[in-house]
Amino acid sequence: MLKLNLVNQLRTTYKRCLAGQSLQVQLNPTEAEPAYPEIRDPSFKARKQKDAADWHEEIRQVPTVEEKMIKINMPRYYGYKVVDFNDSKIPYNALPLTQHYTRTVVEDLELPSPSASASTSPEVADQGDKNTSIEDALVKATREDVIEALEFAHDYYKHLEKLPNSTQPSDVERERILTQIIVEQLNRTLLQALGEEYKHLEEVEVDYNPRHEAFWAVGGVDPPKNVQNSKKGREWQKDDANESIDRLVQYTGTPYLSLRHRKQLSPWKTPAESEDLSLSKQLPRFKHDPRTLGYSTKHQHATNVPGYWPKGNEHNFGLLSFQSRAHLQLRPKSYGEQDLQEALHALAIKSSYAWLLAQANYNGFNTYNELTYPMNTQTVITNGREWSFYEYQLNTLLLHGNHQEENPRVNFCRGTKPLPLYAEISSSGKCVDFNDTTLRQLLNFYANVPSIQRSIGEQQPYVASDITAYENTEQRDFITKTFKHLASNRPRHLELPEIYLWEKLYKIDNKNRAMEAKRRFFELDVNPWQRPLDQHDKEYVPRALRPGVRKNQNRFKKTYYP
Amino acid sequence: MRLTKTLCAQHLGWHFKKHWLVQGKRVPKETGAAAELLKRGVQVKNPEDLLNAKVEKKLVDIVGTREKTILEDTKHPDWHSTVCHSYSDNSVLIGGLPQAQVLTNCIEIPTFPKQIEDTIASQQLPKSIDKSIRHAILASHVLDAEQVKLPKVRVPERPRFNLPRSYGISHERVNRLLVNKLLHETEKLAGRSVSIRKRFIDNATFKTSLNKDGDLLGFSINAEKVVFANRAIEAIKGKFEGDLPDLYPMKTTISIPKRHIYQTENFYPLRTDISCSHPHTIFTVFNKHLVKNSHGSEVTTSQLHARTLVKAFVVAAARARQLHGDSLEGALPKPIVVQSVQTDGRTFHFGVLQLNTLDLGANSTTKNYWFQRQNYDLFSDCSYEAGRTHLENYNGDVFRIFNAFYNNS
Repeated sequence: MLKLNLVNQLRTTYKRCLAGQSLQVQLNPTEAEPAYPEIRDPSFKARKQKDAADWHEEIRQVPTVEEKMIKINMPRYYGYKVVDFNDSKIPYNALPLTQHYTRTVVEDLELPSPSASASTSPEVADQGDKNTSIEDALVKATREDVIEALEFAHDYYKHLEKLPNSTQPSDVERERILTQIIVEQLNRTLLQALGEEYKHLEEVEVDYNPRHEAFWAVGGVDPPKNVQNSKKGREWQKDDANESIDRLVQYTGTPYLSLRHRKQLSPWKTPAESEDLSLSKQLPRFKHDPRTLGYSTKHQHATNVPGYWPKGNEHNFGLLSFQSRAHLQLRPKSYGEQDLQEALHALAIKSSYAWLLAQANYNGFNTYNELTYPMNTQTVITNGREWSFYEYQLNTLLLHGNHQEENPRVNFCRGTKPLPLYAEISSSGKCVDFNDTTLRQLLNFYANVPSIQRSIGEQQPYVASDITAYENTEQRDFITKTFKHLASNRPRHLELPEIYLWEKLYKIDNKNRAMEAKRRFFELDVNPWQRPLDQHDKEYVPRALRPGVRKNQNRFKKTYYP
Repeated sequence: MRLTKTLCAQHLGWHFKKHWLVQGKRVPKETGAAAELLKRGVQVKNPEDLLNAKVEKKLVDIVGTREKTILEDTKHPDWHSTVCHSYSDNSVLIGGLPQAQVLTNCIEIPTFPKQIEDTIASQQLPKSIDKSIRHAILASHVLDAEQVKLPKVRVPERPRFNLPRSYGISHERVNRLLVNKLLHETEKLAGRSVSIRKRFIDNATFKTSLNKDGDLLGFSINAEKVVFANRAIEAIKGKFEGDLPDLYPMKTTISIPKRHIYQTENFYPLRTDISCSHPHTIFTVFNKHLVKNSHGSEVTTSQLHARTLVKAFVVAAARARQLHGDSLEGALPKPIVVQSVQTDGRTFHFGVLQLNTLDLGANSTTKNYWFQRQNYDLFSDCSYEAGRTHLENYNGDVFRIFNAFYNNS
């Protein structure tokens, strides 16, 4: 069609010239310069980049959140090869990789203390004093309740362990159980205690062990051996064999608890601070394959889930999440204190980034379509006794390809060391050495009022429609079912075809069976990994369900892939 | 088709084989040498004993991948010769509520206690509450993002038909979220002054064992959510009279499995001197895939009510034993009131038990009280249909009762 148009244009110009008309007449006299089309780089790499950019633009144009997710999954029927990033495995020296993969700058979070306000300027100090006095009152009011809740949780857990006939769970599992009890008790106590003062807490949505998943692409990683070899085998790609490639990352995690609100937390970094090319250049880069550290890879569909299914614009923004550190027990002691601290940072960074990315997905952004406003969240990593507090600001999602070098924006994470909430629970069940500073910090997180509310157009600039607004029932049904099917990552009905070992020996490495009919996929030059999502048999509609049409009409259900 | 192997009797190889067989089993001939040697006083030994001397093998204690399971026989440390009727989470009383009444010595009163009835009638709820509850129902039944493999669905008309397995929110999680969200809404209404006096616990276990007319009854139950209060619920005012139903010819312990391996100790999940240790309300989940009649038929409404009652009874009895010691028999110094709610995510059954006595015998003069109303459906259907959430026939009364139960003290 495009080519025909060009031909037609040429033909009219030619006719006009033949008729003796000047071309200049057609041009706008005010514009002296003619508008030439952009000159395209015809090189292989440039064409690839153009294709990718076009695809990202296509994703941006897709109207609904669900369809965007399907669109991202369209190229792979059997799922992408992803790096398995989860909340229960943090290898040694994980921080540089985590920072690279999330484009995050780590800072220290200042602890709140009654004396801190004295050093600031007088006006701020005034306000600070007021704030601290409110805080002090709150700490005083909640202190007893929190201690009581802690003692209650421990007493219950002690009885739980005494239960006869119960199989002894592992240390990790025990920490999980105890921390879940403590976190739920404290959350309830604090919501009650602060509910009257802070009205936003009455509107929060509490998620218990929600499912947090996120998918993104990271550029600037050295290519693995198989990619290098495959490129070296092709003449025109030989020179690019060692060029960095994109790795796809899939995060999966289940925090103990998370709180959501319909308004956003206010950012703590200005846009000017967030867009700093020199800062982004200083970020650590981990160019090696992530498998060198101990991360594994798997094949799965891209999923983005912040704990619930997309529905309108209610409670789309995270307020606070409580992450587990139980699996850190499995790390050898020889890793040292420093690495433990870095592991906590890494856990906070990846869980916060992934949760925010999943939320951003429900607002129409994704790893290929940049955020238009910053998003914030707060994360607490705890084992019941030790609490680390983190704040995260998500400024950018573009990490793939050249953006790794060129994107001036960075994300920020600031956090504290693990702070003890209490020293121990004595044998009589009393809480010993309760730490007010930790409680104060926890209260600060609850008291952080989400205040930013944007118009729908501003909040979801790339979302044109909602799935429920579609008139066609069949289309709605198809999209939701496909979306859930992809998100569930259930195994495909027919598994991926396999090359048997004898085939590798006698058919691929040594062509010993030349006379045999070539019927297997590798003999027909079919790459099963490259199979797109919509390449499958369509669902048959029985004749009884389509009365009034000829029997060979509308035999198959329509599909509505974006 | 060859039915038997042909016997190649004339084959030379066959002859050799047979010959070898015969020659292989030689019987030593009696030569008289042994008798002669014995006569001369020489000791004769069996060559087998010298050649194959017995070596005692030592048992090597290998550390296995898992602990060895203790066999459930008479050597089991918890084996008792007297049999115990062990009621557990998945037991169903076949006789339904009448059996439960006889078992727990309860008379049924078909209303709630007066104070709860009054609260239900008089409470003022804000108008927005129905919207919040609708949201809570949807959030737990439909909008939560958990996707696990759900149990098989059978079509009664085509019992062998294998439908594709669906993925979704598990039954346990639906109920956990629903109860949590409903409690969250009630606490918001009640305010801090009420909610500070209560605490929640997930999956609490209660155990107790009692004697009834010579039969030993063991109870071990699990309540999915328990509300504890810092003060016990006041005993219900008024005297209630009634007779226990007659189960003849059934025995009261019918359909409760008998066990020889059991423990009789009492278990209550909190110590007495902690601030909120009084049982207030228990929430139990009914999962039809786990709780079944032994003959496979569906659990009836009456059996469901019985389950609510027995669970409340076990909690009250475990508490009574904890407060007054294991030796306590007969009437309690102060009655214990426990509220019990059973749900499968859609249907709710509410009941209140007042435990007056632990004497379950037929001759007991004091009786326990069981207040209950019929089941209530929170809604008739809640699902995702073609991309839109559906909630049909939402019933606001359930939350009113729920709220009244929570605020009762």
